[in-house]
Amino acid sequence: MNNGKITLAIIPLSTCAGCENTILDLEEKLFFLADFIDIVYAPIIMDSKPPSSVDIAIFTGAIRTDEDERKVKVWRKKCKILVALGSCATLGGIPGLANLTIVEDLLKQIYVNHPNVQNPRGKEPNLDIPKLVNQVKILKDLVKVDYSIPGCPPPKKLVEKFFQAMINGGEFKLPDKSVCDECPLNTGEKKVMEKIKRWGIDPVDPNKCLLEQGFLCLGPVTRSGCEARCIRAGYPCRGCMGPPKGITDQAADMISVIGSIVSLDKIEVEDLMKIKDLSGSLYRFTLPSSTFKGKIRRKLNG
Amino acid sequence: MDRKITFHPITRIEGHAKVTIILGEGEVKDAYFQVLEYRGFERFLRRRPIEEIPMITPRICGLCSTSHHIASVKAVDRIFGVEPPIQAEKLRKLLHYAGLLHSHILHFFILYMPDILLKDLPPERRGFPELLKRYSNLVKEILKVRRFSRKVLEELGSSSIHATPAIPGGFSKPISHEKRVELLREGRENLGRFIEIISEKAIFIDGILDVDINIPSNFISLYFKGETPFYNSKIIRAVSSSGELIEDFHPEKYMEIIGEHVVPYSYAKAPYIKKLGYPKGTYRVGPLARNNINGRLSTDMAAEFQEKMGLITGKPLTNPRYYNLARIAECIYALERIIQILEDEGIENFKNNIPEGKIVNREAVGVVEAPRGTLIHHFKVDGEGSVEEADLIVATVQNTPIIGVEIKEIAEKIMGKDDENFEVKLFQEISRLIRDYDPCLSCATHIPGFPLKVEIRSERGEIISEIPRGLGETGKL
Amino acid sequence: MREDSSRNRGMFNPKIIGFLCNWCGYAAADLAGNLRLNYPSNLRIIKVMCSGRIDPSHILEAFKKGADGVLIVGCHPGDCHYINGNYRAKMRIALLKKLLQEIGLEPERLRIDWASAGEGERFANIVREFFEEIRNLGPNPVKEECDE
Repeated sequence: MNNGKITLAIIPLSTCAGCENTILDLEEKLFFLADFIDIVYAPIIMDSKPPSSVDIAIFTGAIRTDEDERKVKVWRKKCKILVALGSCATLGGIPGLANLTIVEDLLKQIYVNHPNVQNPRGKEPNLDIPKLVNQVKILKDLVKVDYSIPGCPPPKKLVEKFFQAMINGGEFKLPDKSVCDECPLNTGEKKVMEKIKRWGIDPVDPNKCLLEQGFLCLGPVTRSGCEARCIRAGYPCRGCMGPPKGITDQAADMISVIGSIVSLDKIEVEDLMKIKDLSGSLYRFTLPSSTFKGKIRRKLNG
Repeated sequence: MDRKITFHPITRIEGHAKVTIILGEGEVKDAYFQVLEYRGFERFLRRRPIEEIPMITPRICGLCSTSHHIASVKAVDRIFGVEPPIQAEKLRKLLHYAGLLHSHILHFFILYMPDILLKDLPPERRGFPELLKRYSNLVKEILKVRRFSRKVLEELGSSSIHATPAIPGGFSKPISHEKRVELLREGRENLGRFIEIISEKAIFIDGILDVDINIPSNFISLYFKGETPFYNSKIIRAVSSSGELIEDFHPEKYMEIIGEHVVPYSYAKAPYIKKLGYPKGTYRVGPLARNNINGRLSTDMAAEFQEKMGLITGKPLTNPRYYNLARIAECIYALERIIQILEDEGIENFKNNIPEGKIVNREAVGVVEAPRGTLIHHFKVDGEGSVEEADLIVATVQNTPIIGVEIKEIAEKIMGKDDENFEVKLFQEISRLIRDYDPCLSCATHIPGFPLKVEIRSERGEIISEIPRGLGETGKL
Repeated sequence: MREDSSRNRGMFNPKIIGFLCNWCGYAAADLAGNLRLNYPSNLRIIKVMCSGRIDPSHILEAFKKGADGVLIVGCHPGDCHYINGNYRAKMRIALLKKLLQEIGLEPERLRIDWASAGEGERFANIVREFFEEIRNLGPNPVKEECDE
């Protein structure tokens, strides 16, 4: 607390800054928040140094380097409430797709400590660079997380609700339905999928459920809260809000859904095999928080 | 005894960076601009179906995500051999300009402004929260304009950030009549508002050109005689510091013209114009480059602003502070273009050119002018349309060699003066210089072969030292 | 007790989870038992009412917890007590195998097959065959990770 205000820090991990940008999208509500919240550290918008303690620490971005890991552990000790904001921090996000390769491949072109350094003065400065960790991780893997707000970007309304709750001392809970519940194309009738189609390539009927038409739409296995914004804009859900309550693995759940809704008259197993890149499509935002967290690593013997 | 100063992190930019300066006896020996993040997009885009790529690449950056989206979708158009109908293209441009406005406003008015209006305050107070307190009217007004850009993005896509409505051969949805009319009205209102905000009487205008720094460099941008080319990409033009034409080339041929310099002991790549070799061929991109190469923006009020601010001189401007004025001019341009597009009813109704799904070209390039500069997306796909290789050249990476040179020069300049608050002043000056470029470091370090490293060059441009970037066991060198 | 590492591929005792449907697969297993037919006794059986009831996430969990193989035995196509549960299971398993392959687990570790209540012999053969195949594949690599 600082003059009766809540102190807040916004700490970037391996982030694209979209979550920070979402906070700035609160626009004139920022004035209202400024009456109750003191941002004491947020390198994207201010020059202040890290404080020794803070009420709320918001993290954006995935854990991709050892520096990210260090930050999380240090701030957990310094803050009362730790918040994971956005799909990267809560679920792994798009950077999590790197877990389908191995770190050595990501860094293939790097030369390490080559002896042939051109430095006429003969001195080697010490220039520490963060090292990549073996797999992208989520905050929950390392520390206790008090609040998670998924979404890529997190829905503005949820971010507002969160700040409201912090100011009022009220509860903040994520909605626990699925995107289908908010979707304008959902008629509530039983869905039957008769074809498999490719998004961006096959023609779309804008008035019919995309999944039913045969497009991969992760609405049924994705948490609500975004008001089905992608479908409203005319394209299918890719699951950025993560799985709804009770589900941990979006891919497994989506496979179950597909099994349930395919028309057994019209669809054969061969048709399903045409769905490309299952791991990249069904785990688009959630690979590091999925059952295996990524590609299963084989230890080399010996 | 050499002294090392580290500034970490550089604040009020997008992404993680630090600067290390090595001081010897009365001289600046070395200066390093290091970028500290990496996610590996070019690698994990492999094996993804190409039609999904425009939904993934925007996540490289949450400030310029529409640029990545559009660049990707243009490449995907070519892979499937389709072109969007003119109205769909207009909607793509609308998205692009709204994204440009959203990003530029964020940069200049939120991230950069403290360098002008709060420059004498201590670090804890140099930031947006203080701007909110002291200049609340200015902030309120500019946030209204930003809100307009957000509304356009949200109407066309899912959100102001990571909106991905463009599809191969078209655009997901036309705009509704009600929304078009509403946004048109708001667009005109906000153009007026913005012009008011940046008039000569504005308190920040004089503070932009506070120093006279002459940094010669080559410049690169898309070039077109007619509509200023943010989307249309027939020609990329490279000019020298004095304005001479170095080369005009087609985006598809960028690999023949632009090389990426790799130092034997470093994995960072710095783009350079092959014809001139490295480091002579390094160049700058972004609003100043666009201004220098294309001259007058193709809308009236934007061009008027350029004239008034001395941006049209016939020769390239080299002082990085001009980036900010060019950026403001582009905001006006974006607003005027948004209005022009919204005036066309054709965007309410059109038919996309659906690809047949056949791969027509196994390789394609998509180029746009992103807020920060020329952005190139290059993909190779296999017979089924899955990505085999991805090469992304983003704006900021092209600016970093020059930033390295400038850091050293500024350090030398300040060093000559009073030594008392040397480090504090140095931090401020260097950071402000870096911010002139509005660097987007998340964009810059998608590449394998990160982080960006620094070469220190003498006045003659020779490399004095280059610093190896080793991500070794300890991360130390 | 640690499982043998994959160095001793041929010697290890696979842990295999068998999801057997009440009407067919489980009944067939029962019959095989009554007839004293020889099949690997360390098949861990989980009875479900229908193969269509099996949730892919249960299968992933089984592999995560160290199962070397997962076997599903349901009713022959056309014979499902619930009409088409087994068809849906077939679809799901096909997709799941594809996913497993993409994330680096051998899809052969997951198998779906059919045996009616009276096919005790067939059931035993399926199980024997599967154990052999898993023995050749070696222990679950995920398990190796967990053990370290």
